[in-house]
Amino acid sequence: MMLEEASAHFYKQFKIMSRRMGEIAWIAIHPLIFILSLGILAYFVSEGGAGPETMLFVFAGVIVWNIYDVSQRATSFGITLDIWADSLKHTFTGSSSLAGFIVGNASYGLFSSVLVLMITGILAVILFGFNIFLAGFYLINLFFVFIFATGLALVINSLMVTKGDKYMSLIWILTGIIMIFSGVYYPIDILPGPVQAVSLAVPTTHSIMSLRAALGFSPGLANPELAIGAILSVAYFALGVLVFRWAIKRSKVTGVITRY
Amino acid sequence: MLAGLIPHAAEPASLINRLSQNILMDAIEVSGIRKAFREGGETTHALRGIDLRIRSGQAFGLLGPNGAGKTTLIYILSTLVTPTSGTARVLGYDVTGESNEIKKRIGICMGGTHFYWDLKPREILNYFGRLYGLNSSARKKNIDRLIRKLGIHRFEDKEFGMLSTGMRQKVAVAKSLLNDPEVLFLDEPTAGLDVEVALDVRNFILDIIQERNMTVLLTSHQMGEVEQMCRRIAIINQGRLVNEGDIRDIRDSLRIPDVIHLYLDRYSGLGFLNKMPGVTHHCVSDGLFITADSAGSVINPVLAALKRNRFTVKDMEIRKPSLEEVFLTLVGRTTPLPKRYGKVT
Repeated sequence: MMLEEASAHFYKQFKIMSRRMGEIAWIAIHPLIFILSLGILAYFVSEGGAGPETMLFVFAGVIVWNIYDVSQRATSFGITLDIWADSLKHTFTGSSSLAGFIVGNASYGLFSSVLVLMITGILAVILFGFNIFLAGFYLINLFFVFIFATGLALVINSLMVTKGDKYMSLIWILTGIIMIFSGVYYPIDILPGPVQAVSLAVPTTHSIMSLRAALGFSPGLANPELAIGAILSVAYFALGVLVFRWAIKRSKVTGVITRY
Repeated sequence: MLAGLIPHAAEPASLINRLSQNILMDAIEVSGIRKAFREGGETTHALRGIDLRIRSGQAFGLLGPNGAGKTTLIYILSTLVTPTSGTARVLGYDVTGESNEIKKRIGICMGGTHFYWDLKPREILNYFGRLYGLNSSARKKNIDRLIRKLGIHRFEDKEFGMLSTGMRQKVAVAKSLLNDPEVLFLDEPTAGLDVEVALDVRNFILDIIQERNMTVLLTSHQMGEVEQMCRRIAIINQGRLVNEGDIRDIRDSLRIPDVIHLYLDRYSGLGFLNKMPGVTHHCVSDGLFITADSAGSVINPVLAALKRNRFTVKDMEIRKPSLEEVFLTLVGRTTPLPKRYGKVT
């Protein structure tokens, strides 16, 4: 039963997204532009004396950030598409359990993440000779990035179902904020002290560090950073589920859920 | 034997007991339901203590002016909104504690429904069929049947955003019936539809209600629609139940007069009618209107008196009070008839 419900959410997203050029571009073209533009920049900087590690440093960050982006969008769009279509009330009067909703939309996020990993990973190999797949087991960091992104998406969803669609813009804003704090393009050591403390509380910071370490940048950090990233991601995900559960209940009390 | 044929029927006696209880039970029980919405420091009392019981298999009409609380009540019963206080049960399940059990067994169709603009009707129904947990064969069977019966196949290839209001509403009706619901909530299902499509939709719903012995709660501003589909109604106004019962009983209890409309050869010199017993009022406009508690008891004396006074009756029409007049009387707006026509002199 729950699997049928989950398949409903996956089916809806897949059908709608596959008809929208903008969404196809977000998964296929957007990462390509990032890989190309930042790859060329990294190549230029490394050739200018920064050394070959620059390529590793930038590509690991870019790939993680793109995976975070599509994962968070997928789960957030579970609610956003309903709000846009004025169909939220129909989804929640359908026999939709919270678990079905989360699993279904997150599955679409996982599917998008795998596509993005393939596109960015293969392009990086072909165009710049950088192979992220050499991280082997430590590619599991990307799964924890997906888990964290899903948790934050549930928090955004919670704001939308309790306060209304004015919080929808967080879907796009939050990915930028996460990028700044996670040290996608720079080591977090260069950030001011208080900002560093925030960075350390963001799981993607650790996942990126672990992935970079697995590929040869500060190798000793691969395992400890993987563990910290995993624990934090699961904690954020659990928090997201709890907040979303509360938000749906709250939305039924305030009636916001019936607006869309 | 029975235990082998019917799943979970280890004790035939208890099964029969349960089945008979289901047949006799109230499908919807509402007791002291209140709902207040708070926004920006202001509180709106949508429902102020509603009590209602709807028998299983009954089609029940819920009437009330805009903002009376009809839709809020449907939202509560379909578990979309939590009541502030009071209890409500659908098919024996509590709306707050057992919402998943309820959602599996109900269908809901609202007027002016929107779905995903990029999806085609079959895809929308596929999505909701999956949400209801229907497996692929049950889903296909139900979707094919509804698409054929509602004539959706004629616009199946168009995306929802390209459909007319009537086509969209047919998809909404199909969606509400996908899971073979035991209770169907219809919130102004024909609002905004042209006469022909409204008739199609109404007839389809009527057929399916009779075929499946479904319990239906209908809200509508189309009094004719409510009269056609329901025998019992409740009227709510400003969040309170004003009246509830059989349409005929409510009409009789209000003593809204019958109206006899007579077309005569002339309309002067009718003063003699004022002296007739049982004729409570009579007035003239483009015809002679006589209002009486019971048209049957006065019609013969009136016709005889007209004949005696050499009036020719060209045509005649007897009209019972409409549901609209019942509704207006109950929500505190008087029957418009006496004001509409001048008194006979």
